[in-house]
Amino acid sequence: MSANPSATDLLTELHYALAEADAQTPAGGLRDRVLDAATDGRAPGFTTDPVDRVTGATAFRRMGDRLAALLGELDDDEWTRPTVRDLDVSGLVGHLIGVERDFAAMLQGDMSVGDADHVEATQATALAQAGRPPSATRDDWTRAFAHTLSLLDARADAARDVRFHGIALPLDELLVARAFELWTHDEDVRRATGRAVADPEPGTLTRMTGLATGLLPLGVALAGSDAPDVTARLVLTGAGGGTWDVALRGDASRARPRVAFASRVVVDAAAFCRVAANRSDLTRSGAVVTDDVRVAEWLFAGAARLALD
Amino acid sequence: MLVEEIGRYIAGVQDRLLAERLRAGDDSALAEVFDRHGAFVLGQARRVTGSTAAAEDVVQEVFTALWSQPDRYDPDRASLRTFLGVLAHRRAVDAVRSSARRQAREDVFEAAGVPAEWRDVADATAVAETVRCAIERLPEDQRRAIELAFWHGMTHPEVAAALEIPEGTVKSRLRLAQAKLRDWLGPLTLETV
Repeated sequence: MSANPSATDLLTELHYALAEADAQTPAGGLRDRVLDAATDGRAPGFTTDPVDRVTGATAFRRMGDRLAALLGELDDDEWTRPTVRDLDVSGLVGHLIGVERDFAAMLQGDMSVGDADHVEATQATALAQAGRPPSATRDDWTRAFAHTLSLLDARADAARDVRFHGIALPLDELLVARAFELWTHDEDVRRATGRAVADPEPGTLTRMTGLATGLLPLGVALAGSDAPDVTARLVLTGAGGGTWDVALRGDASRARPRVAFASRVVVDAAAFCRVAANRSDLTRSGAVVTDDVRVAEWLFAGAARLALD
Repeated sequence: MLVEEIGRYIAGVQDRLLAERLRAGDDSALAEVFDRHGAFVLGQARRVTGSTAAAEDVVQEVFTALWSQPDRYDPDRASLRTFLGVLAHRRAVDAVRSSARRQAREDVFEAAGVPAEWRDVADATAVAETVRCAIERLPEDQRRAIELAFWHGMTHPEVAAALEIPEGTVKSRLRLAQAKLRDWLGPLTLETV
């Protein structure tokens, strides 16, 4: 309720507080009847926030356009600011130039990049930016990104499985992963230059949360072999959110009615994506955990293992 | 005063989180809301309809509406209990109106209509102070019950637990308080919203 309720609000609140006196214990069965009727009308798992579904290519394009706009704002000094992995902003953009060149090669049929290490394969390009004018680095990335878009425009096989830097996914999903990466590094640059981080737009965020939650059991498996054999409920709030039941040793699926779970984690959708990008953790994400905290820790450890960096 | 504000703030945070979970499609949030407020909603509906069967139908309608359109609840405008209470009242009135007793009930509601003074009160602070003073005049046992239910947003089982008294005692204390406040607050009637 508002911190400064109106007089009518206040009296209405008082009226219903007093009306607790009229409470009647529901008869057995009413609870089940009510919950069944409600979830028959609206299936659990899906947010009521309306979001237009976007393709992976659209998500990728939008996030690249956003990064391009950000890079266009930076002054020369800001390109030298330290960011992740001992790189400055120029080096980080150099990493993205390398990723873009490998991705273009993959789209053109070069199978050698399928299992290349994401960091090692791009490190030379990242380090090569040292001493270059920022405009040259920015122009190289802009050209590489535009080249990828032109290759994507020429393809109509978004459902085809592809393999890139050790990740095997349908191309459409891989482009969501690429959008995820561009957003992560966009925020790295924002942090390095003292700018506020910014959530993805809802359509892209919806695809990102869908991808990350689907891969969570894989992440948990990568995080260790002794995860408990239980289900966690993950509630991602806000635009791009939804509710998932994640079996730590099984699959993740949209929430189903009245599933028993060992722990529930409620967290903002974009905040969860920062965890999946290994830029945040359970504490810093603002997550609200109910029941077994250890299960939530496994869930978030698994999420963080999804990051490529 | 500070304790009251903290109590309301905490209750508001709980309601806001429940609202976010409902919007995100977490059906366990709906179960929690039912466990917390189901008895209250049933009581409200039963009071208006005079029928347990009709009241149970209203309860189903209220919780189904909350689940299907959670965006209609705005935690900045009211507590979840008040939102459900208003909804239950409206649905119960609709149910009664659709029955053979329609005319008789309408007469009752008209006679108990909200006075103009209710709507025209401009100074919320003055009204809040009036309410606060009225509550402070209550006997200690009634005052503690209403403070927990009103300022801290507790349900009657929660009040019972906090005061370590039976739920039935909480209800009787709230009813006594309700009668006194109705007398003292006069036009700020607590009967019909």
